[in-house]
Amino acid sequence: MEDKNKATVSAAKHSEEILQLVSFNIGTEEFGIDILKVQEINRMVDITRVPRAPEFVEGIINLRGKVIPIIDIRKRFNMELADHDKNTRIVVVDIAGQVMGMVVDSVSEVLRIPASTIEPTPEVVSSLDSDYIRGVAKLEDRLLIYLDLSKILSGEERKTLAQI
Amino acid sequence: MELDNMKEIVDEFMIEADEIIAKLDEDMVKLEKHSDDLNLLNEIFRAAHTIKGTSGFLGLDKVSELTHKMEDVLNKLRKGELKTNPVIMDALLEAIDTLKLLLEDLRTGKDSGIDLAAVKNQLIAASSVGAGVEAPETKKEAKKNGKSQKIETSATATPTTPIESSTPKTESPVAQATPLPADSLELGLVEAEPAEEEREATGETQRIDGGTSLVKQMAEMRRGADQTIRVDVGRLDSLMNIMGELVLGRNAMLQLTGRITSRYEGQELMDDLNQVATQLNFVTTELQMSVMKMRMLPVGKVFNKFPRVVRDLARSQNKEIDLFISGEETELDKSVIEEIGDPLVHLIRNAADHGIELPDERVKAGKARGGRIDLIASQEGSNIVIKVADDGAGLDTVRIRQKAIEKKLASADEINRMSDKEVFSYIFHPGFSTAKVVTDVSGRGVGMDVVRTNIEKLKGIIDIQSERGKGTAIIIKLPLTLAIVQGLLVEARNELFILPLASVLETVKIARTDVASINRKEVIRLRDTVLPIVDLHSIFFRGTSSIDLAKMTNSYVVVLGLAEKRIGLVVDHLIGQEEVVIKSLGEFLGQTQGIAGATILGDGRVRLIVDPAGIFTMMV
Repeated sequence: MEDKNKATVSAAKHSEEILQLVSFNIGTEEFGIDILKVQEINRMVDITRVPRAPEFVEGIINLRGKVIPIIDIRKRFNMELADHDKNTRIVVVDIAGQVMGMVVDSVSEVLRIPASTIEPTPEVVSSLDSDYIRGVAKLEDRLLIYLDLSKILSGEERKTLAQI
Repeated sequence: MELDNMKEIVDEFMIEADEIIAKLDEDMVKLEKHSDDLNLLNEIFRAAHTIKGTSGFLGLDKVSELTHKMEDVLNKLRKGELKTNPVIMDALLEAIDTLKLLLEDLRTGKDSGIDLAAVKNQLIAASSVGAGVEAPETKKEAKKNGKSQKIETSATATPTTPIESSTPKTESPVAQATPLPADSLELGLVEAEPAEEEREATGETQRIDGGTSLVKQMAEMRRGADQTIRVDVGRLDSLMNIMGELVLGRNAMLQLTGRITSRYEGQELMDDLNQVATQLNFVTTELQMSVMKMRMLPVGKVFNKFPRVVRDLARSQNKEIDLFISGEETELDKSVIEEIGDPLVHLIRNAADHGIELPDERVKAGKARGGRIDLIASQEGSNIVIKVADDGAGLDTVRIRQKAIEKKLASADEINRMSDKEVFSYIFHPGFSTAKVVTDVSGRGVGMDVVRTNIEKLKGIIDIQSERGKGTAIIIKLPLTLAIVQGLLVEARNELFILPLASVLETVKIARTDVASINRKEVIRLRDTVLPIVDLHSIFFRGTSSIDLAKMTNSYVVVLGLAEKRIGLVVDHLIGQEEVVIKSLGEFLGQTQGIAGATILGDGRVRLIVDPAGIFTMMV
């Protein structure tokens, strides 16, 4: 708890800062990620399964001649699985130099919000592990979960991934 | 002269010298057999002379000093004052070895304090052998030693860097040191002054005999240098990468053209499109070949050192062995060339050491006294085949069986039931040796393990043929290049996989009745061997059962080979062949066992390329 408070304090210091977030939906929840981490947003394509890959790795795709891994956010967050439909998107992100895609239900918009609207994560905010969450942004009519992309794969998981 | 410039010249010299020395090694061994070949002798003399000249000019005292001593001996041989004999050859070869060490020092910038005295004495002793009939280790050297010291001192006086100003200075020491003083002088001038045409002309008139003038040689070298460019390997690699992308693009375009054609059949525009597509396809293939060729080196570059290896071994073991090399012009990718040297050394040593018998034994067995080793390279489609064959004793299967049982590599029963061919593969086992004595050459059971590891790294295949009393042949099959590979597309339970065609030995159609089970492992009989088989899909995706015999009505077995190992992969369909470019899955998924990487097929879909080496480790 202490750590989180510290994080809030440092967030408050940058209150003048305007955050640009790409927001997307999974199930009934809305998430936001830092726009600078997003490379592009694509429609769903055929995903090739990779044997012996971790469960949340859906497979690999061809991104204009580059092969990148695809992560299913639902699986990652232990959420109920859903079928892909015409709104399903692949958000291509750059996490610590590693380009990968995330499957999300739909992408809604690009938001500009002052950093001050981000508040620390309440105890029970969603079904997902609060480690991935930087905070919750209070928008006019709804709440948006601000994700910490670098923590979507914990250090250990990266290590296991690298070892496979 | 600029210091940078100087370094460039030294680097150039090193590369040049490496080539010359490699050639020297080869020629020397030839000379031993054809001692009266004057042309060959002259060639060797010129080679030594070139090194001496250039090294003297560059101030590489030790090198020039040593080559000078070699020249003395060679000159006597050339004039017929001496006749070649093993002692002389040993001395000369020893000198060449020392030369290699000196150059190595120069390259690394270290001074490992190589002492020339011993080699020089050996040379001097050898060259004086001819005078007396006996081999006198006499102290005739005393006088010569004095002389060589003089050379030493005068040579050290040669300034290392300032060439332009050195003309008079170079002249003096060289004049003392060599009977052909003008050579080195000319060399300095040619390098330093622009009016080289003129110089060359005068240089030539100055020399009436004394072989090809060094000036001419240098000029030739320069002319040669104008036609080749040394390119950084990194640039070639990136060119290769771009080429890979182009190949993928071409594949996609061809597929698309096919689809469009089938939809708009008969329309005039389609003919045009097809024409363009065909042309583009053709050019891409040409371009790909050219780019690949740029990375190719003749395998002779590696083969060159083997005559020497065989000669030394034969001499140390009192055997008579002739090495026959063919196909040395066959070209291989640079990365493959770099890896192939070590395994070949081991194979050749084995052939000479274990394969070829002693002359008396050979005569007893009704063979010629001298043994024969063949080293043959050839191209077969997109593979290179290298064969090392000897006409020696052949592999002793009885002894291999014994050893294998001793080492508990399998039960006695199993081993005795194996065919000879299956038993051969035990020689690749680390620490496995049937040699009764460990010599300094072999017998520790390391060599064949090295062979296997390196060939595996290159995704090559090894095949052993051996007959008791007749000899052994070891055949290595290597892919031409590692970046763009021919792939075999197969389907296993609705998943497509690509198998590198270089690792595929054959495909067999099987019915469920062909499959037998040994120790709950499925096998099929393939001619005289028992081949373990495994379902490709179940290797990768857990949960799927192993081979489902009931469904196996019309399956195929793809026989995969890696070094000496074989395995059969059961697949449902063979789809076809496509040129694929291996792309890494990234550091993220890159280490997935059994998967070499992915590629993008003509239809834009990503497919996984199976890594044969991974499959074999997973099966253990």
